[in-house]
Amino acid sequence: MEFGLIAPVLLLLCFAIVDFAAAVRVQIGVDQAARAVANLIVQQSAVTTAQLDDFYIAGRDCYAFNSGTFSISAASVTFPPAPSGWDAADYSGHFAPSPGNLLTLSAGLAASSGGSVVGGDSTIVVQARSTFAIPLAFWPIPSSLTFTSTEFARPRLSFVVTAPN
Amino acid sequence: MTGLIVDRRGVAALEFAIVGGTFFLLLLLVIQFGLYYLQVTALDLAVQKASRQILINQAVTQTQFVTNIQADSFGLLQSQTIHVAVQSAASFGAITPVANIAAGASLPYDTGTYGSAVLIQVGYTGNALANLLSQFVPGVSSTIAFQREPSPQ
Repeated sequence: MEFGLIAPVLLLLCFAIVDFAAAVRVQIGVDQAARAVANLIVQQSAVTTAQLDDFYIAGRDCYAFNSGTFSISAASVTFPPAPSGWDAADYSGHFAPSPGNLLTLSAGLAASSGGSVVGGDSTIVVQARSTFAIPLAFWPIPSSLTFTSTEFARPRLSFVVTAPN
Repeated sequence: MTGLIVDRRGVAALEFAIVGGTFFLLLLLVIQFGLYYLQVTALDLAVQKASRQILINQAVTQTQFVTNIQADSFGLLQSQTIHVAVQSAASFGAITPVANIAAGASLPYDTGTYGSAVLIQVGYTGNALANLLSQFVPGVSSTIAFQREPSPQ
C-alpha cells in the first residue's frame, strides 16, 4: 500500500533529475552558440551575407545537439546622439532559420542604456534559441522546452560592424 | 505454507527493502547529477581558458592542451578521460565536426594560422550518469568556435 503511493513519486523524481540534467546541458549549448556568434561578428569591421551564414554554422556546431530545433538572430544597434535613440541594423534575415528580428530587444536596450554610450558606438546583439524534446517526458513533465540565450558584445575593430546590403 | 502466507512478521523490513532501494537510487541520482553539472561547468570554463592560448596564436600541443584543461578543472576531471579534437579551416563551413568525440581515437589536432576559423570539441568520458544513461543524458562535452587573431601587420 505504502509502496504503491511512494513509488510513482520517487520514479517521477528520478525521471525529473535525468530530464533536468539534459535541460541544463542544452541551455549551456545555447549559451555557447550565442556567445560564439557574437564574438565572431565583433571581430569584423564589416560582415557579408556569406560570413553571417558561416558564423551560423559555427553557432550550430557549438550547440552540439542533433535533436531539437536551433536558430539564431543577430542585430547591430548603433547609438546616435540623444534624443534620436538607437538605430538598429537587423542581420536576422541572413540566418536561416531565424527566430525573428531583434528590433524589439534593441528598443529595450536603448531604454536601459542611460545615455552612457558615446554617439556612433554600437552593440552587437545575438540571440540563440532551441526547442528541445525532453527525453523522459510524461505528465507533469513537459514534452519539450524552449531555451533562449542573448549575448551582447562591442565591436573590436571599428565603432560599427557594417551590415550586408 | 498457509502459515507463511498469514505470517505478518517482517512486512516492514520487506517494504523498506523495496522503498529503500528506490530511495537510495534517487539519492544516488541526485549526487550524480550534482557531479554531472559540476563537471559540465568545469569543462566549459577550462576549455574556454585553454582555448585562449590558441586564439592569441600561441603554440600549444595536444598534450599541453589536455593538461591545461585538467589543471583548470578544479580537480573534477581526469586527464586520461579528456578527448580533444581541434580543427581549423578558412571558414566554419569547411569544417566537419567530429561525430563521436568520446570515442577518442585518432582525433584531429590542427590549430591553424592567423585568422583561421577554429572549432574545438572536448569530450569527457568519466561521468557515470552520462555513461549509464547515454540514451537520455547528453555526454559531458564542450564545443567552442572562434576565429584566430589576425596577423599583426
